[in-house]
Amino acid sequence: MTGNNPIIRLENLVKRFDGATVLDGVSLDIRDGEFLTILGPSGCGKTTILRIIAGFETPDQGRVHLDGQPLNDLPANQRRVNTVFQSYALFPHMTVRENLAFGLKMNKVSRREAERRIDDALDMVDLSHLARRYPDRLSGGQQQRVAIARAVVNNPLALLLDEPLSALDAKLRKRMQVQLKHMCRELGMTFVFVTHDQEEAFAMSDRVVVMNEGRIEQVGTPEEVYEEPVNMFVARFVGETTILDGSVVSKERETLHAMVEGKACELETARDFLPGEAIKIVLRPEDIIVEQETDSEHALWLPGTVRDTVYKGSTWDMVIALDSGKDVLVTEFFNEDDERIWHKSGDRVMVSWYKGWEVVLPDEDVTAL
Amino acid sequence: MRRLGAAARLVPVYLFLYLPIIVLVIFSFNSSKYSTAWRGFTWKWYGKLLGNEQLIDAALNSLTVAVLAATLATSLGTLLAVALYRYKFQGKSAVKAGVFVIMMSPDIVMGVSLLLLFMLLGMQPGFWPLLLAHTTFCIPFVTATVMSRLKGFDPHLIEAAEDLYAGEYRTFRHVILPMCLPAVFAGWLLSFTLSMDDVIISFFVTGPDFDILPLRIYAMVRMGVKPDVNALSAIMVGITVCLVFTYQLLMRKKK
Ligand SMILES: Nc1ncnc2c1ncn2[C@@H]1O[C@H](COP(=O)(O)OP(=O)(O)OP(=O)(O)O)[C@@H](O)[C@H]1O
Ligand SMILES: [Mg+2]
Repeated sequence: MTGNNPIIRLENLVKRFDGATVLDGVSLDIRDGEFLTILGPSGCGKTTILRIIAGFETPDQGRVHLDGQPLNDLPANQRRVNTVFQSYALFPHMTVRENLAFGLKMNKVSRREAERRIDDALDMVDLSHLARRYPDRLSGGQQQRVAIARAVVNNPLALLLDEPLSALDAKLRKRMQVQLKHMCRELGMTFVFVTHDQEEAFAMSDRVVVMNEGRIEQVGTPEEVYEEPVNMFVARFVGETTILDGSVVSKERETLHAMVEGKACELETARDFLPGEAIKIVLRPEDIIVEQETDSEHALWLPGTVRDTVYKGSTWDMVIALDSGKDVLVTEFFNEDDERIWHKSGDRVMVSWYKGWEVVLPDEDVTAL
Repeated sequence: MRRLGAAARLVPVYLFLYLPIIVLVIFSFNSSKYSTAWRGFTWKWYGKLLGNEQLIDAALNSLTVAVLAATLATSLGTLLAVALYRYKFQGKSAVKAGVFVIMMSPDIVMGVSLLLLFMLLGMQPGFWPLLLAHTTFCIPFVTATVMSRLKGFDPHLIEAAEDLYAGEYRTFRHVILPMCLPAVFAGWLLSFTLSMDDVIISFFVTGPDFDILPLRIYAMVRMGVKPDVNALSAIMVGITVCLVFTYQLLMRKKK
């Protein structure tokens, strides 16, 4: 299972391309055996990190350690990590089996050992029957699995995957997510996975690294990142959000007296705020309560009008336009025993949230996204 | 209807392109020796060719040079293409441009400059200067052919090879070379053809004791077009057609 000693350690990596800083001091410990996902918008430097670990790029500053050994001067072909490329990069002139055998041959693994490992790897990805095919005779999903098997068969200390699922259709993608996660557990191998898809990151990872513009914004479990985003960037990037404006009146222990959307209320937060400070209140769609009549139990009731409703099978999504001008996204889960009234577009409603589920952040004028 | 339209446009163009060759092939079977009038079908010109020792010698010389020059040019041209594709170095674009300059420069200029160079080096006109000259003008064509194929590859393939523990040499040997092999063959064929039918450059660098086919034919034609020249040319057209088809097949094949 997941150990605690880092298998890969990144120390203060800086990388510039043509004067543009692409990585700006990235430090990260990747634990042995964990499934770690690097998540961030396009161009934030995710691929660059993987390429530095694999040895295809050299950092301008900083160090990479693999299993306690410094890696900086080691060429790519001597590093015990393997990459699954987004384009798969299967050798077109070799059969599936020969593709898998390539790394073992280069590594001078004995023939018998190699045969055994190839068989196991093919078995694992369910491709034994296609071993003699050439890659151009395989479907996208099959090529994908060959690419994974070709990397895994070398038994690397870490597997680096750069958006390996982005070319697959939604259904296959879901299946591969489950399979990859399963493989990580089964093999006890460290997986470093890059994606810009938040849902994918959450579905698979032990820990998620949220990046923005060459910097790490937050590292944590999917729950931590979703429920306790450390800043507005993470809050906005990870999942749907409603963001309300407010200002601090006073703070005592965990309770914050504040004005939110022009109304006085009490909020809960462990952060320190000064009276008068501008704040943002971050709410997830499932944090929100919508009623037609109000009771006083909740923090705050904000009047609004239902604008759109979307039936999604297991949930019922709504957009509510508050009278104060903000839009609120709401997700309600179906519950068969519940005699809830489902609101229709145009209904007047009152909106609030479950006390303590809100995240309070300083207003830092995030322009990204 | 549309097909007819296409044919209406294509036929004149192809007629224009191939009429001379068709005429040549037809007349290589004409039994009349001097006139352009048709006097009946014959194989005799082809038979006469076989008896012409000078011609056979020249043909063998040409073949030797073509095979050697094509092989040399293919080796060097392929290495150059791979170097240009893989590595970043100072003056890379100048080298690239240089390849095309050689390709485009007029034969007459190449011929004169090579002659001058070989004179400066004190080399006697003949086999060696000819081989070197042919190798020189073939290299850019090989490089261009191989490069165009390399450009079509996923650049991550080479990284994948490195990632799977292959060093420089083995990446070249096991990944790059096998993948551009069709282009390498194609480059060889192209070089072979270019070498076989070069007149101008060869004229400057070869000597009297090393006659080659195109120059031999040229000498024969100066004393009037004879039917045996027609026959020889027809054979060469046949060979060229085969080579071109092979070349196209190689360049089209994916793997
Ligand atoms: N070889 C290179 N030369 C110049 N700029 C580069 C190079 N590689 C990457 N960059 C730049 O570095 C930045 C980060 O690139 P990177 O590929 O790491 O982003 P990413 O997070 O993987 O994005 P995506 O999600 O689009 O793949 C981008 O702005 C990109 O243009
Ligand atoms: Mg990327």
